Amino acid sequence: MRLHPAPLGLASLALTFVLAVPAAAREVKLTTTMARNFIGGAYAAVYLVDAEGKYAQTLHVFGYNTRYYSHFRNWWRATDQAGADRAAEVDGKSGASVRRGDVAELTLDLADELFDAGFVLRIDSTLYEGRDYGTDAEVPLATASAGVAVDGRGYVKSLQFDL
Amino acid sequence: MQRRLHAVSGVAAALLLVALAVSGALLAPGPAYDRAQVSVPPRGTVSVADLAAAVVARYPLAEQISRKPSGRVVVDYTEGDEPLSMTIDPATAEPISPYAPSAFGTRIGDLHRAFGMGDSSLGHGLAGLGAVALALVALSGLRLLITRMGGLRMLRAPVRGTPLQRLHVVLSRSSFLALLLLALSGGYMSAAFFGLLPSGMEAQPDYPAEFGAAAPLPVDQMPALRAVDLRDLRKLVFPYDGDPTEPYELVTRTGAGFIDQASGEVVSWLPHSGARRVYAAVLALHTGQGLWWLALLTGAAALAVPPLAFSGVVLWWRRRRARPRIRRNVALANADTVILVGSEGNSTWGFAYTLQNALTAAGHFVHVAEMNQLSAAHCGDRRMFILTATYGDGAAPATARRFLEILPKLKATPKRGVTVLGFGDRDFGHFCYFAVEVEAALIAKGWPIFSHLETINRESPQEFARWGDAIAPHLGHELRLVHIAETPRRQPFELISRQDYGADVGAPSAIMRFGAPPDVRRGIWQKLTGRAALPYFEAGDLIGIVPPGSNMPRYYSIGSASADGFLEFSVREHAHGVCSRFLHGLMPGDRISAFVRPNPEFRLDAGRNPVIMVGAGCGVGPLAGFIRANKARRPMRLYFGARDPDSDFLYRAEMMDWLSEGRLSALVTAFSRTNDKAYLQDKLRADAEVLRTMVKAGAQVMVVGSREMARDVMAAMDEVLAPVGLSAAKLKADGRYVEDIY
Repeated sequence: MRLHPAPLGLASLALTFVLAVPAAAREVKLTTTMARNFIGGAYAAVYLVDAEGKYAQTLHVFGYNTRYYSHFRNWWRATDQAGADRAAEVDGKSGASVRRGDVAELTLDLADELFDAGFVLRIDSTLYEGRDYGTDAEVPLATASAGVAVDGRGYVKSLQFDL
Repeated sequence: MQRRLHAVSGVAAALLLVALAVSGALLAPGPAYDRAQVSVPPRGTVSVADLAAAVVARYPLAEQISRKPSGRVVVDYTEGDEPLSMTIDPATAEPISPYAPSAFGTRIGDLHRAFGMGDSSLGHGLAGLGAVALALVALSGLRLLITRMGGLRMLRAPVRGTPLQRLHVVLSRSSFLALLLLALSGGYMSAAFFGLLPSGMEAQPDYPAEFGAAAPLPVDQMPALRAVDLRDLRKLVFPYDGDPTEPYELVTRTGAGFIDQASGEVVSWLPHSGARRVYAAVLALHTGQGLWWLALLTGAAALAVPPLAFSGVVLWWRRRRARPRIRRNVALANADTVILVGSEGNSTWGFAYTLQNALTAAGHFVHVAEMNQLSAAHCGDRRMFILTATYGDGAAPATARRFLEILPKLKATPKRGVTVLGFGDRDFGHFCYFAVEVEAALIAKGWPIFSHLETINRESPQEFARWGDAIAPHLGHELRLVHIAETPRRQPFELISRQDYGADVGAPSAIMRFGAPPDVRRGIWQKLTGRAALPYFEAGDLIGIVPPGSNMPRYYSIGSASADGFLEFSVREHAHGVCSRFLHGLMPGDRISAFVRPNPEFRLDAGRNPVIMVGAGCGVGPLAGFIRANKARRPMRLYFGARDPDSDFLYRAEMMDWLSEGRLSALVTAFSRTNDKAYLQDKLRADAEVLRTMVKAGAQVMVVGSREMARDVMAAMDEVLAPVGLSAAKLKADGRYVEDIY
């Protein structure tokens, strides 16, 4: 049976549209306020883990020099366990380190599926010749948690995301 | 070339190096201070398990125990919601004091590592550049020093030179090794930062996949912790939040790993790589952490950097100003003509540049260099001009000292020929002696001489122009040489007083004392120290005076120091001496325009060894200056020769004062026109025993006078010293016999 070109063309066009339209993403504004209890530039990694604590993705790293990334304790372990390629994970996502009292604002595009699915947004922090705080602060990636500031336990004073 | 590398890297990096050195020096006492506050138990007395148990008992919420290189043990824990750190006694876990890295130390450390720019490549790059620059400066400086002192063994010999030169040499000699160590270790760490060298610090042990399910062991029973001595501990991190499935993390001197709580055994271990251990050693050498005495040594060496940088820059600047800049100096490879210059006081360079300009105007490509720089590259298809002065009584001038050594080893020849032009002064005897030697050496080497040796007397521009016309036919074109002499900047001096001697005995001499004219402004330094507006000079330096009607300066030895507030020298009037007649015609209040030329070779040794001085007539001038400055009352024995004590006994009254003050220990006079006619050399021979004793005690000999007198004195000294196996020549080689001949 020969397929008529016109309906085939229309169908493929429709299919293209369905496939080409991206999944909905939300723009999230993440505000990280640093504490005042340190001097110098602190490094911090912002990343997502799933409900079981397994590594999902890295959102941003404060601090350019990769040699200090092994001090992001929980991030390092999580990426280890997931077998992730760290260099690829942080590629294009690093920025300057943060100093005491800094309020760093990040604008991130996160896929809809990540919300209200048990994912947790976590931040590990570390300081040269200081301490390493794995999970300095964490906030569940849920619409209910938007706009609510969460306290950090180390170099991060508070963490908050807004939709 | 050596000097240029040292100068370029030093001057360009001066500020950078000073910043690094000052910040480094501020950090240096840290390790010592740290070490003083801790006690380190002997090996085998405390294990990590004991310490951990004691810590847990006292600080249930302890997060980690770290042991710093100094031996300090710190516990990080939380109280309430606050993170705290405490230095504890390693044996008992008793708290000693709260711990916080000093804010000052951290800031200075940031400044030192990256100029406060955090982790930026620019900041770290600058610091790395500083390390490289320091290594270059130190190594090139060492080479220069070895050359200047005359060999590796002479490195510790006393230094001669202006005060700034002495400062530079003495400081660099003592700090060289430490600075080189700092530069190399700093450079290594910098390279590691940029990934050029491995630091081994990134490697982490694999996080264990599984854990034992049994209940956690008490920490003092864990075999892995019992096995590690306290002194090998670097860090022990407690499990997060007391979770029984979380491992302990242990970092020791030899490696890092995780310890399972249930079994107390190591479940994942990564020994430190060789690269990491090397890096740790380099870090320890640079920062002195754990080696507090080294930090103090290198810190002290770092403190030498600012004065070295300052003196180095000033010396470089003065050198640059003194030498007429080589304008339009063609690169050697492109030159068809080479001019080699042998100069002591820079005046010969001026003639070289006049020749260069004339040749360039005629279409040649001229390269000008020092005679010391002679190499095969200067030969080839080129024509060579050698312009040289003579130093003293026939020696090579400063920029030609190595020429006669280099020449025999050369295999190349300047194909278009060579000619030598000598500069000298017929009054001095051995006229152009060195230039004659050079030509003889060239002939012996078989070089083609296109025009034989000519000489220029007293820097005469007319003779120079005539020479240009004489060689023009060899070049195939005209060569008009119009030379205008450059003299250093002169300043005004006013005659304060004069004392005249010797008129009756046919040796009219005057001691002339000059000062700064009242309307000359003083520099800041001079105002602060209350000194007169005089340039810096010491006894033994020269004053250059250009008399009216001449363009060539005449030099006289100065017999006072600028610190005395006046410039004094002695002048004998000669019937045909333009300058001496001019000076003798001056009355107090008259002014002259003159400049000071340092003469660092004619100085007393530093120290208190005795001095034997021999001078006749006006030659006593600079010697009087040394005696006047003899605050330390080192033994000085003066042999003074003149014609008649009532007529030309220069400094008679002052000498009596100096004898009674102890500045002068002995004065032996020889007068040639009295009844007991005596000459200096006889007096020396008569005192042979005394002189031998003094020389054996390390005495230095200084002779001032005419060429004939110096020769006679040298002969007498040879006789005196022969019985102890010494001679004047040997003392000269050691720098213990100096002559100032006029």
